Amino acid sequence: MSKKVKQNLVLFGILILLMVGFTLANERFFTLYNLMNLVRQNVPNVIIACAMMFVITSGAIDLSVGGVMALSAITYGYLCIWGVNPWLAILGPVAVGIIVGGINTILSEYLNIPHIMATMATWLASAGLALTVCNAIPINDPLVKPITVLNSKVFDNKIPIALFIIIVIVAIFLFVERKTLLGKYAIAIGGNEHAAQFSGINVKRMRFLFFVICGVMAGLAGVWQVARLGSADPKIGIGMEFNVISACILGGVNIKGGEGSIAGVVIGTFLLAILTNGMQMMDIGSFYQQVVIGVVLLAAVLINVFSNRKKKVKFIEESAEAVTA
Amino acid sequence: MSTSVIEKSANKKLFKLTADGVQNLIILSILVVICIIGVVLEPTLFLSSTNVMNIFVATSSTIITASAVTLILISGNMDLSVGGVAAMGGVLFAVFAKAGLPVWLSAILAVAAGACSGFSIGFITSKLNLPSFIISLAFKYITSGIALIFAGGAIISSGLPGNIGNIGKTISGIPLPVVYAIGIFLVFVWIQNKTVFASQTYAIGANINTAKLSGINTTRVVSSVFILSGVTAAFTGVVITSRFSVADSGMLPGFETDCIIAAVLGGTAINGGRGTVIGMFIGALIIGVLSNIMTMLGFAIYTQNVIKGLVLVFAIVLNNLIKNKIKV
Repeated sequence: MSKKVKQNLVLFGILILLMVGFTLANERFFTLYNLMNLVRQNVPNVIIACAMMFVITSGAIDLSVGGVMALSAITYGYLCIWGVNPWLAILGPVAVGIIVGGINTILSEYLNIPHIMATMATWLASAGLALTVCNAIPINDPLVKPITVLNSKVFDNKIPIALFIIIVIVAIFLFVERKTLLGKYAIAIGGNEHAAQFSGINVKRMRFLFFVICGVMAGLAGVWQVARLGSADPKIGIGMEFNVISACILGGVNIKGGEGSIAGVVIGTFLLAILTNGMQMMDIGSFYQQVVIGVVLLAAVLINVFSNRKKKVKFIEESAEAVTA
Repeated sequence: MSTSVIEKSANKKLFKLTADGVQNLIILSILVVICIIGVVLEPTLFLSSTNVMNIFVATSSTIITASAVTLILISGNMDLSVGGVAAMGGVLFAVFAKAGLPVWLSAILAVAAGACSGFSIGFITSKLNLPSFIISLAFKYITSGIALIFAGGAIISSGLPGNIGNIGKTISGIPLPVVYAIGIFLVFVWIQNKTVFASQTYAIGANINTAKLSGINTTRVVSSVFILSGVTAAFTGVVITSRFSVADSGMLPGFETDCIIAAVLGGTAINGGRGTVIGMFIGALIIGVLSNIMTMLGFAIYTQNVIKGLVLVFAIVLNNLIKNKIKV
């Protein structure tokens, strides 16, 4: 069993333990209704976290996702109001994601601005732009409503379409990670950017691709929020980058790059989601939740560090043994 | 003849500016240009004494905290927690004062809480060799969560002792926050220019491995830098709470970005190893004047964020340009 699988199994164990704990604490937790609600709430987190996995694994970071989400939702709302077909209008948010991803790449790779600063600037600008164009008033037009059909449930009104959306997108990401070179390239770039460049990987182009994937997923997440809320709200993206990055780190992505897996990230996202949902169920105030999630993020980073340290020692011991043998 | 050549070269050296000097001159002229634009757009309002005082009071919180944030950036780290720490400091100050402690003791305890948070960030960052932004991000949520818990999710305005305003009031026309800002700024200018501690900070920011190998205790230096930022951030919260006699758990939104933009405008390299506190002072004034003008023109806060994002990019690009063009 590889280390990655082991790590994911441990995470999955924690997930199950949490669920058992919350079920014992509150009988309303382990109901189909609550769990399916949890799935519907976490579509944006899951799909952005999957894209963010590639970005962080390649040694970069994208703080702009919350702003892109808000800007996409507003773009979508305006396109609908202007009479564009509500399904065709999804192309608007996708374009927003591509543009912001492109700007992130230009700023960080060509103007040599550190990723965190470049994406912080685009986050400030895009979140501010979203609020500016609609004067901070959500777009509540009936023309925006058709998309809410995505938020409905099928099969005897029990299973939300959201579940299938998540399964399809995660499957695509798993395919990209395992069966294409993108996953390997991300890890190679994150491990050592210069070595990757010298071994023939076009680092700038790959970074562009990762930023664009991340932007497009954030754009689609914005559309999903419109579908869920029935209105285009410019404030939906607040705190999104924190949730997504926390989920990635919980899922075993090395914040310095070079390590990470989609499976781990998906488990991490749901771990965070269940923690929040369970605390809400147990009536723990949202202020305490903020502290708890901060502590969880800190713990996740520390656990990652210590487990890596152990690995390194083991590796050194093993190679020493090999040499002596 | 030879003497004249020597004189000439001496003259040349005298007028040769360092990269920091060029940076300060450029941003000083930017500040002047922005002020002229302000005067042109709002001739009567902008230069009125109330408005000038307002700019200084509003900028004072940025200056107090960004002084320490500049040192953090110089050491190659980043602190995203200052907004949360300021809110925590302000709220704890109000809670202690409300509980009956003397105002000065409450202030000291609140600042000590800020120091604890700063120490934790710095210690974890340097001891475990982790990126500081993620650790400080976690602490941003922890500290602002603590602020929310103690303020009950809102503001503390009732039941505060009458003398709570002593720390932030205006004495004979001079607001105390401005006095603190200038005092702390001067202290940090002294730290940056005259102490071994600051040279160690520069060394760590330039190359942490060589700094370690040359015998600098990186854990101690980085922890101290973060303690300074925790202390100044919490003190900012205390001063604001005292000035308005209200502890707001959501005070200073976007404070960390303001501090970073001020420092970067002032020529602090985002990757560390370079920067001045004097430059930060001018950078903070630019942000203050810019916000003031935009508010006068009726820009909403969120529109100002768009401008701030552009300013941040511009500042970093300007930094890179100056660093690459001027070799000393």
